[in-house]
Amino acid sequence: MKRSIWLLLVFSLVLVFSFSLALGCQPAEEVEEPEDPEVDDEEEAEEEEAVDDEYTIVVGLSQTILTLDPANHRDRVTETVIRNLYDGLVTRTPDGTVVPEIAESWDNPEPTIWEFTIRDDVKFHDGSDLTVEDVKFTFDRVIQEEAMEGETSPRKGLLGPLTDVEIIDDNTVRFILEEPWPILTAMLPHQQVVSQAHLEEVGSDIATQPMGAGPFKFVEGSIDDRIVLERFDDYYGGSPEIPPVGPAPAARIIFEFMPEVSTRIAAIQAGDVHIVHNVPPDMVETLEADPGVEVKTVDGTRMHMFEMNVDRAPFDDARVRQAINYAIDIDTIVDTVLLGYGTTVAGPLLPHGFALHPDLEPYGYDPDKAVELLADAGYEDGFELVIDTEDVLKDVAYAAASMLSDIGIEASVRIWDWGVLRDQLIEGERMMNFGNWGNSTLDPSDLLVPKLRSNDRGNYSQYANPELDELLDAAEIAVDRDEREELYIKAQEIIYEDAPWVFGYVGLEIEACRDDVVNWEPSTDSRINLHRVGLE
Amino acid sequence: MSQVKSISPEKMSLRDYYLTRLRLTGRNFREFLSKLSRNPTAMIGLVIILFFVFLTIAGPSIVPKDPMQISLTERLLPPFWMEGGSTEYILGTDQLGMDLFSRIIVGTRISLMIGVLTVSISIVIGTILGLLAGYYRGVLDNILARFADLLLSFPWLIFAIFTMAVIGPGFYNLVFALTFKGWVGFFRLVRGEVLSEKTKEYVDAARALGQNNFKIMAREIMPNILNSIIVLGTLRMGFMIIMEASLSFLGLGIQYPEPAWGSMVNIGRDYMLSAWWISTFSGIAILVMVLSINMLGEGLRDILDPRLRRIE
Repeated sequence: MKRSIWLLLVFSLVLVFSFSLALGCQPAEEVEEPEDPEVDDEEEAEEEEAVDDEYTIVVGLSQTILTLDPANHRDRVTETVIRNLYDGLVTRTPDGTVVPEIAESWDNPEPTIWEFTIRDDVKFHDGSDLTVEDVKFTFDRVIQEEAMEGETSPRKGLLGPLTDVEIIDDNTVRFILEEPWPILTAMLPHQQVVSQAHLEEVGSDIATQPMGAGPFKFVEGSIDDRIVLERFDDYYGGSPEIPPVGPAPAARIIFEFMPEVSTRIAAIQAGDVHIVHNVPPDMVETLEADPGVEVKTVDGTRMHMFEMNVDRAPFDDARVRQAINYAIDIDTIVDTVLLGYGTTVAGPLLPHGFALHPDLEPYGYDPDKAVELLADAGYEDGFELVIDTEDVLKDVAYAAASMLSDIGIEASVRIWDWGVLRDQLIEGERMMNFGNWGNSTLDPSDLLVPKLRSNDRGNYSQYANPELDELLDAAEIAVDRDEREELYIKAQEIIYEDAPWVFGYVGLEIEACRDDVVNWEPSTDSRINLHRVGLE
Repeated sequence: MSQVKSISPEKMSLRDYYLTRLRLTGRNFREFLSKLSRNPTAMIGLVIILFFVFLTIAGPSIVPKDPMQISLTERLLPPFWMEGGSTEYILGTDQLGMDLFSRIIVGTRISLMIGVLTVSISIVIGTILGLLAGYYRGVLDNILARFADLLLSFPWLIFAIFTMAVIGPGFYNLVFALTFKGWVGFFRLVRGEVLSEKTKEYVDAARALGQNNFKIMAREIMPNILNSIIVLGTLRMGFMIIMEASLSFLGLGIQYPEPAWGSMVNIGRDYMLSAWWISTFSGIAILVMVLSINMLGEGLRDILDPRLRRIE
């Protein structure tokens, strides 16, 4: 008995130390061993030969997905998988421009009427033609109440004032809006066309038996394991604006779910996957040192901000909210926690989006001014504050909490499960939330309206300002681009002064691929479009 | 334990009885110490534990840095012997620039306190209920034993995860979640021992001398099962510390940035490839503490367990 304990002790210590030594020496070893990637290439070459020069692209995703039904989720990673199976009326180029996909062209004869001409050469994976009936069915399923096997689609909100879809002739559908909505086409890439016949056959089982008109068809897999797709040979070719047009070069696509950062990074270094996303800034250096891996970045579209509950003291006082803006040093957070892979924002809008106020400057770090403002508001002794956030955002929240304690606010961080936190935020039961909101249209409308219009669906700061509501409502229906821009600029001034948020930052999307992957660029909306992607 | 019976319990108050017993124990204790010193496994365990106890008491005042001081400009620094490390941060820093060395030392406190608190509360509850159930049997025994079986039917970790998810994270909630199931082990041990002890002659003798039930339980039976409780308690302490670390690792126990070893291992997981030191050193701390407690426990069992003694 005693001897076995000694053995165990010695063995564990040897194990632990050899492990730490091995890890500690890693970078040096990598530089000395350039053979590694070549070995990988050879292996891949063999595989390629085995399947007639056709190859598989493996993508490592950072989370499992929710469904394969394009109408039943609100999740970017889920959408990434779905958009390789299904195509929409329009799509976006990697830099965010809206271009035709299934729709050949469109027209906007009246502010509330849009007409889309549908291509006549589009086929579903089962060989049937995609018709205007399918398009109407797809959109009815999203916008009508309880149209989705008794449930209302969670994507309804993404279609704003769209009330009706009418069939004009065999190639044209008409979208009828309740009020003008200039960003309709910018929002349409988020809707994918389904087959009416297939849906009527499988019903809600579409979540596991997807069938679309996208470049790849579903082979096997499940949403919590892996998803395997295969090239669809009768693909109409995709958007003519995103060459090359035609069937995809890759014969097979595998989406692997790798929630652990270390697993994703190790997998791409080993060549087990070709593309990974959500690379943390801390790992960029490691990956860049690897000759077989390329790191690519693109401006993200997720606005990160601290939302203060304006209904609750002390955040009911604008001076306190401004003080917090002065007290949290966003620049330092971007430089250190994000290692510079982000941009500090001045106000509530993305720096590369539409209608950015040209003259707003970030509040900047000024603790003295913050203390002064707190004293003015009667909080010279500070107060207690819990910053709510999710696990993936916690480092920034801790950093902010420590900055707030420097000016006498007793700040702590609480990490939540998003589903639980979200309900409490909607109800206005929390003080301060550090979170983010996607703005992939680059239009202020789908950021400011949900986040800051009175009682809107994402208004976690409980901000309610009739003046701002009026501006946002006017901008929603304004058709003239300059007029909209002007309205949003006024809106930004109000938001900036009133400061319901601590204006945060926009992170860069960091993704990585093996060096033999061609034609792949990360997108601003963080989806991974594999239609064009090949291997050298 | 033969000495115990040589006192005439019926003539003394409970206090005098235990004083007398203490004197006898003093003699026993010296014997125990000499046995312990001849058992190297237990001695090494004991020395390491005493060192951890020292860190628990002195930790916060001897650490070089505030263990919860965030300094963003000094994040993810390696240990001092590696390139880029400095002696200011002996074991490096974590992803918010907190000093790992200070955090590990101060973290001793949480691990050891959870271990001691959960085990002592479990012992008190388990022993009292076990004595009552084993001695009186009947309905009380039925209810308690079935309840204990019910708790035993859940796997430990799953039960603890469930409890923590319901009551939320935090130090005292953690103690509650661990003792809620922890007492069962002691209950079953004590109940079993009482069942076998109470049929023995010395209990009959005490009853014949007119001792009441309480005195029989406290004076006659308890001293004879104390050794088993001590051995189980020591071994259980290591287990409780692992449970605390596991729950904190899962984000259900002590919350980061409080310096708890389990949550430090968890935080370091995301940085395993670039900053291996965070998880590694916190993990080693857990390993050494649990190992030393188990070594002491094994040693104590060799010395104290009456069954093992009989075999010798």
